[in-house]
Amino acid sequence: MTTIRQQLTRRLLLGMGSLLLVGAAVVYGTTRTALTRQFDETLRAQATALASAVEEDNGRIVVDSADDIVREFNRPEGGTFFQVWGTNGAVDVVSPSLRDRRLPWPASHLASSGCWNTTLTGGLAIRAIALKFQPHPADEANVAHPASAPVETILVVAADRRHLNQSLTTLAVILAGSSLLVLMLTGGLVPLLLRRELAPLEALAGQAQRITAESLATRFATDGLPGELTPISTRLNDLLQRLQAAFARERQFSDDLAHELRTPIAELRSLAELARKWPEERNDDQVLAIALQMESIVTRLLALARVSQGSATTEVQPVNLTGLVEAVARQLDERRANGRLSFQFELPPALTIQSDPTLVRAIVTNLLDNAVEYSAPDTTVKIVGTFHNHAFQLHFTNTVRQLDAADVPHLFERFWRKDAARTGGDHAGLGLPLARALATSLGCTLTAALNETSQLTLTFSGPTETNRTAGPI
Amino acid sequence: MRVLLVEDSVRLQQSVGAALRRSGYAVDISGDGEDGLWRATGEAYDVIVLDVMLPKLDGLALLKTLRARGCATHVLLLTARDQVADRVTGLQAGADDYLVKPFALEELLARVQALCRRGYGRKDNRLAIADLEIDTAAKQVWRAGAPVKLKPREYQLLEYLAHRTGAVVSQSEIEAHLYDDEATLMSNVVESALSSLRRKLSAANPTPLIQTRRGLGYILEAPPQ
Repeated sequence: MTTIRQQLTRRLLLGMGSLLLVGAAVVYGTTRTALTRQFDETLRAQATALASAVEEDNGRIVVDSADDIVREFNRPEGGTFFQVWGTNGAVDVVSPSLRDRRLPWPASHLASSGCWNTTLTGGLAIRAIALKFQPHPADEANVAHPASAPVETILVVAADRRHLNQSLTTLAVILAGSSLLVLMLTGGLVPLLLRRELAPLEALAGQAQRITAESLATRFATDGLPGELTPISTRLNDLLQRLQAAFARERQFSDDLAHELRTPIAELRSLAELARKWPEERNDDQVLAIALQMESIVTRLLALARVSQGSATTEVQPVNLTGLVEAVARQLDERRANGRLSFQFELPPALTIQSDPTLVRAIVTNLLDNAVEYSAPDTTVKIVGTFHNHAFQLHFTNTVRQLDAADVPHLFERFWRKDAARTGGDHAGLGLPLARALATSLGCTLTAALNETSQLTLTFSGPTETNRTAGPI
Repeated sequence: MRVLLVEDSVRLQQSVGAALRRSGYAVDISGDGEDGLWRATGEAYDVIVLDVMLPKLDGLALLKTLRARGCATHVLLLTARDQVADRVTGLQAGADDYLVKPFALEELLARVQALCRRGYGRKDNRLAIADLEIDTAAKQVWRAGAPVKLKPREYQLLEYLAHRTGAVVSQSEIEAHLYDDEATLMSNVVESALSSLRRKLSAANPTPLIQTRRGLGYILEAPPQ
């Protein structure tokens, strides 16, 4: 796996290497050009000066050896040479420094006035310049009346260029060596710096890598982090917090579900084993009751899952809320009587809304069922309906036992029950969560409020007309 | 043997209670933690089968209170929680055993029986006093090699006396350990059961094993050689 540190190291070294290469090339090129130009100018000056010492004496080319400039060409170790060709191409004069060696004929270089590299016979590397001119007569008196036609003379002046080459080679070596040294130092320094500067990032990555489902309580430090990492750390902490809450909810849901199902399964199993061992203890009514309880739990859980996923279908049509509430209340009449309860209706004659009758019925059934189940004996369950500004409200108020204000927010949590032991009854704490989920899917709301006289009011409200189809919650 | 079942599920109360009674235990049933604690501290139980999630007072709090009050009765915890941490918490609170719902009734009975044995310092299912042999697992009795047919109450009386071999057991102790709240105790119920038991045990060997200590109680021991 390639890391940012490795990538940065590689790219920084590559970038630094390229810069050094280009820099060295520029320095070398510039210096080479400057040195060569300087060399050439010296050579050209020498050639011009020498040309003034070349004379024509009765058709013969001579060089005034008494001239100071000519004396420089006398010593072989001086490293400067010249050679003069006459009109017919014959060599007329050569510098003593050439000894038995000869300069090459300039040929194509005559057209340009530039210098060129060449070698002496014998292999000595030299740089030469060629001048084509008419030498002045040796006898100044004949200048006005020359005895013969002007003589075209070719003068080639050359100098040993080994020093120049050596200087350039030394420069190249110095540049290459220093570049390599800088590159090596960079190679050592860059990883160290990157390791130090990227340490917070690596610490962040290491901490993130160690996070598992069991360590979601971990939080990333945000103090002392570089500015670029602070928002990442903050967002990761937010994400962890949400994940932790989601995991906790999931775990709680699983625990609750396990408990809700384990108890009836334990009851069923013990009843079955008891009946098998002692057939006279067989109790089919209990078995049926347990089966119905489990069926109720599973049905409500499935309904909740469907509504939560938005897979419940709705069919919007007129729903007479007044009639529906009274019909559901009649179904609960026996349980109402057993609990010594009474119903009190305050509903408009025909409170009609546009909604899904099946889902609305399920909501009303759950709310009334809840009121009947948890009302104190000898109390009244009051159902009040209102209609105002294209919105309806249904209030279900009953007197509850052992419920306080702190419990109200939990009423719509799945499997929540006041009694932590979840003792007895066929209620699994799914009725109100299901009712709220259904209400939300219809674009309505379901809220709860408890007053100081232990009267719990569940309010189902929403628009009187909706064409909303059930959606995910 | 007398067992206290503290369980809030009415159906489990009925089925487990019936299974325990059918297995020869005297069973008292309690539906919440407060009542369970009151019974557990007021009566002499051999084993308490205790649900963890109880109304009014949860099982773990009940157990801790019991242990704090010096009650050493063996406790079998019964719960829907199956995580290791839950078991550790239960055992650390003073439970002797742990059973997760749903459970096999046979397993519960076997664990209750094992806890009863441990209460009398025994690890073996077989008890032997002279030529009397008792298999507490199969609930069978032999005298001088011959099987002895006993009624459940007679068997429970014999097993209880056998567990306390060599010790004088008072009539009230017998009543406390063998008869639950549902039994209607007549004044001579223990004497009557003892008389019947003695008669059946002497069928194979007339040497009496159960002696009466006037004013003190009864003792089951091997006759002197």
